[in-house]
Amino acid sequence: MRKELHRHKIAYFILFVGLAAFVVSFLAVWPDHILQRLLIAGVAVFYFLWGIATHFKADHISRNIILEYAGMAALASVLLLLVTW
Amino acid sequence: MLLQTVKHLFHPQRSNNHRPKILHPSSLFSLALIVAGCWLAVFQVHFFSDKLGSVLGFSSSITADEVVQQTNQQRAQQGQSTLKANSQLNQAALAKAQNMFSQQYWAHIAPDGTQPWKFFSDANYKYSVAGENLARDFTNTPDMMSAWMASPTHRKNILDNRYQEIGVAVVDGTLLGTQTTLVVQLFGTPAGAVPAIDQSAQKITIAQQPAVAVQTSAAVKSASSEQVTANQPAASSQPIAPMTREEVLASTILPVTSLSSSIFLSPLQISKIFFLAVILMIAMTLVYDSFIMNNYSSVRLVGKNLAHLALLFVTAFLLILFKGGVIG
Repeated sequence: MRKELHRHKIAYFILFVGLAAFVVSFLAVWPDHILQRLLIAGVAVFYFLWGIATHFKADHISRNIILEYAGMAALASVLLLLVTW
Repeated sequence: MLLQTVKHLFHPQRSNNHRPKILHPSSLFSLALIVAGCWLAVFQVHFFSDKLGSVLGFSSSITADEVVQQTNQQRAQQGQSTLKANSQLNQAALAKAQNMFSQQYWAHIAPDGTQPWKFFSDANYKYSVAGENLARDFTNTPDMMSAWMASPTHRKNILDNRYQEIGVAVVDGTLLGTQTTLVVQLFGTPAGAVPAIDQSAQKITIAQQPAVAVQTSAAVKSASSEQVTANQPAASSQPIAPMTREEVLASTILPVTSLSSSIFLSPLQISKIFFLAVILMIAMTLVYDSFIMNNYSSVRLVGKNLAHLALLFVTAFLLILFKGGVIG
């Protein structure tokens, strides 16, 4: 994993910054659940695009990978969306 | 057979194209659907348990005394005077909460157009200034107070130096199919007393969220202007005539929630536990997969486990920290 982090330093930096910004804003907008849901949708899209962009740049892209990122983003957003309901 | 299925789900091998089946896109989407289905089931059980005798339910530790005490704490921190608990305001708050349960709505103004100020006059509380804050689904008073203080309009109500008295009702019931605890917090200054503000500023206001009203009286007469948000019905600028109806409201002020004792877990807590279990399962599979494939040094065209783990970590973190509750 350390090797992986080293190899894609910038990509992971962008991911971690994006996720950290999401955490901070998600907690900051509480108790506004509508804004929280919008942020969840936003981070799901961000993660999906990040995955595609990173793999596209490394020339390691396939339909399965696109679906995997979509699936992971969908699962995470469903978990968070349901808890805000 | 069972072992093979488990291995197929969690161990990278030929049968799953060297990626645990649980991490395949189809499984992730299925899992999302299963999670949504289970969540619905929990809320259905919760809904019917209310009719069959409560097993699951909303567990709240909020008490009216605490709400008054913490409101006064917030005011004291801002150098404002403390509010005195008023039994008529308590009655008005209880009536408002009961009205929301009986008419099944969550708003300052009832579907039949009843204004919050009607409950003041029904409780025979004549005011020169009045306000209302609402909250529901909170499990404890500090969280609810934090939510109110985080909202500029509710905060303004809590810290308003025009108020002298407070009334709070904490009532359990079923609202829109969900068992919950409603908290109604009413503020007021008796009609005879002079609010600590410039009288020229008085107006009838229904703010975006909390309601505030200033009732015109003979003593403090002003050209009462109206300030109404676009999607709210207009507030009446007419003085409220003295009322004498008070027979229903005097019976039960509920300072302490009564349902909590028989309830073990709220739907929110059950959902959180289940969701965290799902995250843990996926995260452990990702770690295991990384470990195995690192040892085998094979090359696969799959997503980045580390990125997935980061997303799951963030999701779990927010699930743990998430606080329920709605204010109005």
